[in-house]
Amino acid sequence: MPEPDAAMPVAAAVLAAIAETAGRDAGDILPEHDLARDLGIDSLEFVRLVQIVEDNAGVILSDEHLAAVVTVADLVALVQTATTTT
Amino acid sequence: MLSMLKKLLHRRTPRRTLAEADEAAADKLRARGVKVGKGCRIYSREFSTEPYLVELADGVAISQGAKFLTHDGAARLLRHRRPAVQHFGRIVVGTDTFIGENAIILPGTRIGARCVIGAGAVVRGVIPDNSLVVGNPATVIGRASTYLERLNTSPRTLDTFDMEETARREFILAHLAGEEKDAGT
Repeated sequence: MPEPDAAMPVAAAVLAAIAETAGRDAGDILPEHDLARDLGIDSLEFVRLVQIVEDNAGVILSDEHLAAVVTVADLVALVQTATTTT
Repeated sequence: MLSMLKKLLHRRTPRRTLAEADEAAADKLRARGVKVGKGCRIYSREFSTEPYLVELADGVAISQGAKFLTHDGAARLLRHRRPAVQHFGRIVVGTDTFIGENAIILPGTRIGARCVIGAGAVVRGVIPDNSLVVGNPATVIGRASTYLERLNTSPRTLDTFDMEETARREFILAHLAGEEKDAGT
């Protein structure tokens, strides 16, 4: 697993990963966007997104918590919590 | 007359449970030399010319059209030098792994436990436990458990497996129509 990227704040790193997965510009992505409905991230792409986010942040997110993620803000909050508690 | 006879025969043939049908399919493969664990559900018959090189642990599920290749046919191109040459590799699949439709598992592949292999994936090498694997060439894109938890909370994941076929059809159509109406599609 690569070292966490300390230079990039967590929220920005998650947004960058979401933008890459969704094929969108990071500036167009809003916290309230639904990952599936608004950004078209399907279940397979979601798993890939999680892998990228975990590798970048150096954390492992709980599958149960990930199952409850709906919006961009949900994922950012989950990663922020994980990075501050590890 | 023929239809009456068919009905009579059908009535006298006891229907097998799904578990019995699974075990019968597993027994057929065992007779061909495949090592099959308990509780497997196997809808593929494509176990190559060396089925005795395939080992499936308990609870493995294999979809239709999935292929297990236990030899590399390209070795025949060496036959001008080695007339009888062939190349083989074992395939091992771990406990509770699911293999999707038309996936191809290449010689020498070892797939871990609790993996999900996506439809059409072309898999080779060693796949760790709990991997979600897709594509050609197949890559591990994350944890199978993340995918399954996500699937479990999806609005399109329904409790329909034990429903009678007509009721199941109506239920699925009604559910998807409701979802499409809500989404305005």
